[in-house]
Amino acid sequence: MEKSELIQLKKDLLLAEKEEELFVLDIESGRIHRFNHTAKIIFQLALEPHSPEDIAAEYASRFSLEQAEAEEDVKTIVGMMRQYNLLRPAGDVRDD
Amino acid sequence: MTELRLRIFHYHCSIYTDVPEARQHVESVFRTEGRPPSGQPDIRFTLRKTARKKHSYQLLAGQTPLGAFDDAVSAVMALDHQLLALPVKTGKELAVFHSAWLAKKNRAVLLPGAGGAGKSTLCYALSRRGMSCGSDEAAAFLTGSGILVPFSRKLLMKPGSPYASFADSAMGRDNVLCRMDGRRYLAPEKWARAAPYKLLFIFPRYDPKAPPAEAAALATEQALRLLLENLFRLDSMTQPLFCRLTRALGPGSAFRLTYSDTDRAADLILNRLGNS
Repeated sequence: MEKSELIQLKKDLLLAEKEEELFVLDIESGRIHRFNHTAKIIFQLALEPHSPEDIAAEYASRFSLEQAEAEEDVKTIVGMMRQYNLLRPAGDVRDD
Repeated sequence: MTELRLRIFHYHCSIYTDVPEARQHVESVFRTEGRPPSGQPDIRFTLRKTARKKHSYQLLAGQTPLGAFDDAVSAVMALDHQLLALPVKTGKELAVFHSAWLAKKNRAVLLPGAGGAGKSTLCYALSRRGMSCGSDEAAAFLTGSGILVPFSRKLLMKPGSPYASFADSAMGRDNVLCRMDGRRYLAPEKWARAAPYKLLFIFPRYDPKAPPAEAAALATEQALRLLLENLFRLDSMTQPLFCRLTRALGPGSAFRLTYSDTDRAADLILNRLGNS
């Protein structure tokens, strides 16, 4: 992962926690996404701009994981977030 | 010109008209009992007859023309549609679902579905079983507080509904839109009030070949998808309302109901309401 690559959730997403899961409504597309407990943590961290390494470090500390293992999980979840078009474009990552 | 004042959802509406059919329709179909709202209306409609030979009926919202019609029945239909669509056109303070809803004490049951799902028929059947009716057409939530706001129009029975023959005989010639498509209106036993109800979701589907009434529990994600398919404006959804609905939906509080027997379906809904 490149340190310079910041990720942040795009606007127009509504998030609702229910029990261990996170439900995300993309107002732009009308799609609903459901994420499990571990993915939920990554989503919450991506509310603000963070590098994947920073997210992985926080994720590793919450779940008592090795950094490399955490980075692998974060890479997978961030890949899904990109695939579902839930992230801001690279040039639009900022604190609102 | 006659002025009619009434509450549509939570809006104070004023309707100016010199078209007798419009007055008949509004007075007979919308809930008008109680003191009419006073003060400055939120919106004013005008339906008037002009001297023109074609398009002689004009409908306006404020000063904005909404349409011109050749006959009174078409003009009244357009006015009725404008009243129903008011929150969709007015702003984002209400999120409106295509759904009937009824209430009992602090609980409400929503029956979301497209035309033909049986919303109005089930609504009337449940009204006859003691539930208060919020609407057979629109479940409107205040997006900030999640309060469910009634749309107090009588229940619309299309030709073929098992309750069409019950239609309000007192309406008689006042049932202006019957001339358009044979529709009839029935008054529910009781009207519901606006409140932050505890919610039960039943997604009905009428199928004459189905068993009398069968309910299948829906997982939260499935129920959310089905519910959002019935939201008129996706951009009216807010974070607090999305959280409220997501937490309210799920096994035990969301069911798909397939039915061929209205009475059995209504009994099953009441049973689920008691158990939820």
